[in-house]
Amino acid sequence: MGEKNIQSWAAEACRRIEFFPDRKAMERELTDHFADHRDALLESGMNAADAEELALRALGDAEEVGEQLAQVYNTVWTRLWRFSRGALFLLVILFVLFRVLTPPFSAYKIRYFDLDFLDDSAQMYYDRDAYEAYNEGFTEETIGKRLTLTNWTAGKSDAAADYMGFHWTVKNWARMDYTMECNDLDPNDGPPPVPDSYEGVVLLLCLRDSALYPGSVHFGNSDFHVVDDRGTQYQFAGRDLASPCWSMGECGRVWNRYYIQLTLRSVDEDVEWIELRAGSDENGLRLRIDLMEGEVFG
Amino acid sequence: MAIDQKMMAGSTTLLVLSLLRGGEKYGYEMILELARRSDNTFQLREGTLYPILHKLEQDRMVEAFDRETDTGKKRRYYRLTRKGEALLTEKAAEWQTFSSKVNAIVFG
Repeated sequence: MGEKNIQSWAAEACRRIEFFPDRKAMERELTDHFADHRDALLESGMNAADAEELALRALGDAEEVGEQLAQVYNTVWTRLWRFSRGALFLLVILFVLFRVLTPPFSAYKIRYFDLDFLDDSAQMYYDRDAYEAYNEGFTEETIGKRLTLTNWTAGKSDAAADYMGFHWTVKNWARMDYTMECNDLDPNDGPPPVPDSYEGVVLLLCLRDSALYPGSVHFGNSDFHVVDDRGTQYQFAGRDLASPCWSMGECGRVWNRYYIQLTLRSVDEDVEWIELRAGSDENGLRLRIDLMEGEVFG
Repeated sequence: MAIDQKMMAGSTTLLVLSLLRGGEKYGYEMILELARRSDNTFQLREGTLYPILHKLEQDRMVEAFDRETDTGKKRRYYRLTRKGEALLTEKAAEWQTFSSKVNAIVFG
């Protein structure tokens, strides 16, 4: 009975405190006060009903106390202060929601297709790991944020593009994590240059073997291109790979690996996948990158 | 002897600050201390203590914090800030002057 009465009294006294957390805190404090007084009266020998009644009466008139509390809590400045805190809280919530609902750029599903296998007229360079995958044909692999994917093909396209083989390294440069992975690079050689902007998807193509020299590498003239699931073709920024990489000046060299960097700008957020294509459909390489599991920067 | 509450009204801030001069206290402790020091002459309507305390807290005259009592109960404690101590000194001096002048008039 006493608990119900004090709760009603406290609720009435605090009813006009506008800000819910303040109201609850004040109710708790008044209830604690009542409990202390009641307990003291009980210890003095009073019976429970009388102790509760006396302790409640000693608090005074709930409405009068409520009036005084309202004057303390509901000033213009306290309202302004609480509004600003509420607005800040709302901003934080919105930011968190945005980050949660925006798909993270954390994993890619890579599918690569070997459309052609051994061509005796071409030189072949092997990567052991890739070789097993290569022999298995179609391979699908989901890798974490930093990817190294190896795929090999060899062949000669109709456009006289002799491509030997590639390591495809896909990196989200916007993460500022541009320590390149390309088969154990020597960090003393330094990272590749950072693109001017981090828009789109950055692909780093590494050539594996030191025996390769740029002149022997062709990415195919018009054969090498990037398309998305809608058929949109992308322009390259930075290094133009539409033409072969003939000299060292066009390609970087890191520890006997060659790399060429592609930046695909302005990839639409709704694009599901992009595909790198070298060579022809009959004799070439396709590397499909599933973007739906990653964040597209545009 | 019962005291007219209106006479107390203007002095409650001074009384509450004075109660805290001896150290941090929670609400019910302050009520007990007030009764003890005044020999039960001053008996504040206990609920009205809290608007005073919270106003003082807003004005940074006191600061509040949660702590366990000696009996293990968690209570909201209050203590004077430096600003509160300065105000107390000021109010006490004010009261001294006021009361001495009243006494001079009343008791001639």
